Amino acid sequence: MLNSLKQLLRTPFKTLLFFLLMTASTVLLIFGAVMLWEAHVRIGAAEAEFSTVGTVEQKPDAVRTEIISATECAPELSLALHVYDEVLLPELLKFEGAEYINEPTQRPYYMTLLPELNPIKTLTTDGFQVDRSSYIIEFTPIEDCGLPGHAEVKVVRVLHRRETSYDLGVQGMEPMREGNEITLCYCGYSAQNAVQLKAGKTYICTLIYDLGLYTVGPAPFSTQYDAEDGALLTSSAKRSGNETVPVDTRLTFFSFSSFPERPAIEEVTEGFWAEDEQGALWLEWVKVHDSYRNYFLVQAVNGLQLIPEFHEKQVYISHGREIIDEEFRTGAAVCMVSREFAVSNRLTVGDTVTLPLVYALYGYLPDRERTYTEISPGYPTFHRGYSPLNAEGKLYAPFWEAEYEIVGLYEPLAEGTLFCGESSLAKEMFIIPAKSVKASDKNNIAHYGAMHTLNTSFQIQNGTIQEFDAKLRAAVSNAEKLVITYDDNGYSKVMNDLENARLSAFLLCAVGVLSTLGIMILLLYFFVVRQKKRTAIERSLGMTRRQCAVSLLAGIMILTLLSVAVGSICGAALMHGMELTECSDPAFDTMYSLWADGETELTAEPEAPLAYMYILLPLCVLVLTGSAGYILLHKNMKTEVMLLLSVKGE
Amino acid sequence: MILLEAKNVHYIYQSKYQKVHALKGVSCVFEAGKLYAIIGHSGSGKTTLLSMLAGLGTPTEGAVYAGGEPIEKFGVERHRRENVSVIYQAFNLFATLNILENVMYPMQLSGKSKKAAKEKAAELLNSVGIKEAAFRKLPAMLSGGEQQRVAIARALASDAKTILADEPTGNLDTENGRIVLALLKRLVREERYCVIIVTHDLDIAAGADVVYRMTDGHLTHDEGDSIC
Repeated sequence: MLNSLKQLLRTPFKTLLFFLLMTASTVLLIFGAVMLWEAHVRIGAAEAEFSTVGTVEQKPDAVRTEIISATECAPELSLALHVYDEVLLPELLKFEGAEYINEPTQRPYYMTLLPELNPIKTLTTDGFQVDRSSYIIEFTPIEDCGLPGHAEVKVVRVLHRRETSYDLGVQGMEPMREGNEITLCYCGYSAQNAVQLKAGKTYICTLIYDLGLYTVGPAPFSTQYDAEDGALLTSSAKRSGNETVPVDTRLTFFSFSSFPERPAIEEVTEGFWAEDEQGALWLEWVKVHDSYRNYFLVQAVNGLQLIPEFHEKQVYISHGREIIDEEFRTGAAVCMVSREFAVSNRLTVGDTVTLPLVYALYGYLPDRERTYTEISPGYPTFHRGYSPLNAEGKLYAPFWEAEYEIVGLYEPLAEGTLFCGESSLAKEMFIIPAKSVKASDKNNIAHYGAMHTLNTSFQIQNGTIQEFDAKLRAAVSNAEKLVITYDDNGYSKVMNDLENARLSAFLLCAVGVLSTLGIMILLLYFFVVRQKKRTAIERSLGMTRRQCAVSLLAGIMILTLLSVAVGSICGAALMHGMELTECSDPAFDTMYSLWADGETELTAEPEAPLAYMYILLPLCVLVLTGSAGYILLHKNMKTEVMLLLSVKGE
Repeated sequence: MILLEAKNVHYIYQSKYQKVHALKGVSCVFEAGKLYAIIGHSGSGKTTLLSMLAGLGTPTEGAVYAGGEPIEKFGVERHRRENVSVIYQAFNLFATLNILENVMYPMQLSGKSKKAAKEKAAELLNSVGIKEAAFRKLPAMLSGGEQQRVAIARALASDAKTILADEPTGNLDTENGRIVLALLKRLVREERYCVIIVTHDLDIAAGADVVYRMTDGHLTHDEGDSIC
């Protein structure tokens, strides 16, 4: 072996040249192969990380304008109300050839009643109190008057009282007592809700204390929808005209004013409080107001990616973990809670909470909270669009109850970006797997509306948007009535970049392979094939075939081993250097997605396979060189030694 | 004493296009202390016979004996290491080893220590007239005659008592040819080597103790008497 190496080193220029060439080609090979592997891993990671979601919104068939006359404290308002001839169901999108990962569903928001939990005490940035005092009172007017407008009244009885410390302290509000004289504000109501009050008579109404004014809220009404056709089942909430479905109240102000046929202020007549009379409905209304602060939203979904805020990475898991696919698939009793809500109630990951689901709201959007927050903050959410009372005028009874384990807390990536604009998430909300709700909500549908971007979505295979959309347009007859928006989180661009990177890596790797093979061939040619005579001399000196092989190949193998080892180390160093450079940039272009730093960063770290690659590839080169060298040597040995040595030449 | 013997050796080699019967029942004996010359035209089978005697080829039929034992039984590699040494017209020294290392090579193969091999190699090189100053030189730096003398020194390094020489002076000028031949003769006379020279040179043949003529695979005495 030493002789072999000695003979190799006697041709230092040739040996050094091959060492350098082999080292360089190994660097190229390692670099290309690792790049290729990384591209492959990243593509796999991207496939797993990215999801392509389509959201669906039904276009309104008409927009109706409603005018609310100006009053003492409210200017004239013009409201644009969306009207739908019919509510299209998401089942419409289940056509042949649609290969959904998650089929289109219009997600309901469930309401859960949790008396032991408190709502978040919210103050707006300017200290504006949003937790309003509310009352249901019987009163008698000081004098006759016509409303809309203001009316001086005397409080006869307080049936519901909820007074906030802010109103009592900062606002200087007098506690509501029987005999108090107050000014009612019956503004923002349309002419059809006009009321004539007579002195001496007793009336009943709901009040919200809003910046020094006792604003009249709605009279009791109930909403219950048929699960099959979405028709309202309750006469108290039926609309006039031919409309069989509710208007979209998303952007309306005081829309409840047009909702119930009954006036917001009712006279307490003789027998009013008798069983089955109006008084009974008001008593249920009192119960609703007593407990409304303890109703919280529950969003039931089939995957977090179907919630726009999660899909767009606007929220992240601050504690614990997300609900995993398996749990969504099996309907595990797990939930996620807004961190702010959890903190305010001392809930944490691992706690369990029993969620009685009381009623379902289809088409309801939490962003209506936003409208209230901005225009009439602190008002009960059910004052518009739906009621916690069913068709019989009773509080809904829970249709499902289960104990859920909190597995994660979520919060918005940037404070203030959520819950204050159009959002499918609310501050006080639980997220549960849809399949964990084992009972039907068909008798507890308190709200029903058209599909909306924020509550209707589906998931398809990545990279199939064009194909899917073409199929959908061809197969779904009412497709023109729907606005379907696809979002792949920039998958197409990222995949395009990754595919380009993979192609570059492949070319680099191919060049590496070819150059390594080429140099190996040259090496073997110069150090084996052209050493026929040396082998022949060795054989004539009595060396065995094995000795000849060792004599010739040992040096080559050592040379190759050193070359590939140095090449591998250089390749690894080069990769490491590149990774350090890349660390300052995100792994992928985040133009389309806002990912939480360090939380959802999509950097696949294929460390273990890479370690193998840094060893395995050089080993392959070494083994290949040795094998090819041995084969060539074996061929050399077949040549007639004497003939070879008898000829003068190299 | 018979060192090497060929008995009815046939050798047929088959190339892709033809079948050549190179040796046709060659029998001959080679004794210690004699210089043999094998002459013949190109292609007559001289080198093939030398190859068989050196154990570099296996006879198709018949056998080569060394010390009365078939070399296959003895082991062809061992035969080449211990019984015969070959020197060539083209010298066939290792181009990348210096001449001292070239001579040391067979001794190291036989398991001699590096120090012992070095001493013996130096001694052998001196004995063939190579000065110590040239020991570190590579073969290409020496003249043809010097290279052939190094080759002879390497042949002597193995302790084999039979030297097979294939045209040993073919690449040398007259003077160097004479020196090399003298060297080989000295080995025969003083150290009782058996030297078998394959040559075209009739002058060399004239100086041999026994001359064989190779004609179309048949080996005969120069006098023309077939010994097969």
